[in-house]
Amino acid sequence: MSPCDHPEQATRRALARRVDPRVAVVCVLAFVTVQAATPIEEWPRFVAYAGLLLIAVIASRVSLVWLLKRLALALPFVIAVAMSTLLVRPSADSAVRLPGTDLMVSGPLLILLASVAAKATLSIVALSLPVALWDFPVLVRALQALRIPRLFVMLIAFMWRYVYVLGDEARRMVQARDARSPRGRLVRRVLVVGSMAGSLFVRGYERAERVGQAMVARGYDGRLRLLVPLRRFRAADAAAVLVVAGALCAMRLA
Amino acid sequence: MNAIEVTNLHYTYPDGTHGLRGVSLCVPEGACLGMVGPNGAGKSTLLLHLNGILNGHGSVRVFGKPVREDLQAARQIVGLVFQNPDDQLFMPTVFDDVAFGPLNLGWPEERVREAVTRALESVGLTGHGDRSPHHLSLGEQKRASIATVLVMDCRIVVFDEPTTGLDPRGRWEFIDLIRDLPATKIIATHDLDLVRELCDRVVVMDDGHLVAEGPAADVLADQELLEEHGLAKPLDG
Repeated sequence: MSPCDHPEQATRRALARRVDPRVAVVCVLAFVTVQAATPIEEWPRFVAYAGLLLIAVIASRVSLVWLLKRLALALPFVIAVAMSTLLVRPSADSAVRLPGTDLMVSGPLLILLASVAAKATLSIVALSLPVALWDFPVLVRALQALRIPRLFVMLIAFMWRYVYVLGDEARRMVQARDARSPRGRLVRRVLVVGSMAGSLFVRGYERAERVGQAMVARGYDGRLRLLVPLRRFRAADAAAVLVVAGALCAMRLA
Repeated sequence: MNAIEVTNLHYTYPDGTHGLRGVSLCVPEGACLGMVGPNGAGKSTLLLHLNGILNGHGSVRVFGKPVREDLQAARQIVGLVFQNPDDQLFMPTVFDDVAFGPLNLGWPEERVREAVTRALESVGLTGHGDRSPHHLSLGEQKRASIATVLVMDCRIVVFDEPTTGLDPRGRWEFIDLIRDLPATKIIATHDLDLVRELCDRVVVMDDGHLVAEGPAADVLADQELLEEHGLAKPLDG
């Protein structure tokens, strides 16, 4: 997967692309905030959120496979909570039987697991849509126009550029490790990962220094400037804001 | 007129390592100067002084003006091409990267677009503007790095190890590209064939000192000097 590739050309012709990227970013952030602030016990609301998100996915013409790959990001969090749900011994008054098994688990932890799984899934799908629809510099420009703090925007821009460079470095380190310990025990190999992470951090830090020098050498003064023109707001933008705001209000207050 | 004048320049890194120990150097306008020496000789440290990224004790003048007097002007005149393109190309797309310098200089949008198009064309990367730097081959990344400097109409272009990692064909294509640049050039390198091919003068650095200077043919023929400072003599030199 490349940093600037889109899931497929279909998103170029998507209905959702008619909306200004700034509006899309605001709508997505509003959606993520509202659903994250909803208690999981009010589960019918989450069904409604999922329905609204499904409409957005269809309007974006994003493929299911592409979205599923993004959803893998949520797995570590869900697994961590699932593990604690299974491993923590429930107190007598909070124990519930896991459906279909004889296993007793903590009721509050089970609710937490459902909450993390639902909210992480909805958030990741929603946040993936703008990435699928627009080139990355357009989104960075949209964040700048929305007055998102400069440091935060730059962090996102550099992460986009360098996550694959660091990934390549990590892969080379793994190859170097494997070349010297082809039959090492799993535990030992896992332990080596810790020192590799430290080494990767130091390399990343040194690279950051060199990148900083390269930026200063070309007149960088603390402001990230991009040549992406912003277009005027149109009727479609106003309609998108009204529809999403209205839907979220209805779902949250109903 | 001298494009670069460095006088008695000293620099010590924060950890106490001496980078430069009293270096003095003149580079005439239009010259192509080769800078050779073993690792840790101070070549890169010296290059970083030429547009004010590092500030040691001593004097660095660009076309007669002290670099520290007007850093922004110095950075428009002296373009640095770093050894690793992943350090030089930090923006999401090649276009944004090449446009980075001109936008910082406050050029109007139309001028920036024209200059970026021209710079990409001059390094043979027309049509690659929308690509991520990560997707370019190393040779293309190196050429894009030159475009980021050419776009600013730099009168002095400074290269740090420009041919490192290139295959033979890419290396010679890159040497041809450097040769055709209409600028004063300073090239820090271990590649003595490159020096012999492009440079009219050569300086040898070692341990923060400038230990020798002269016409490229003379310096490269001095076997004793090259051996003393850990440099190989060209194969057919």
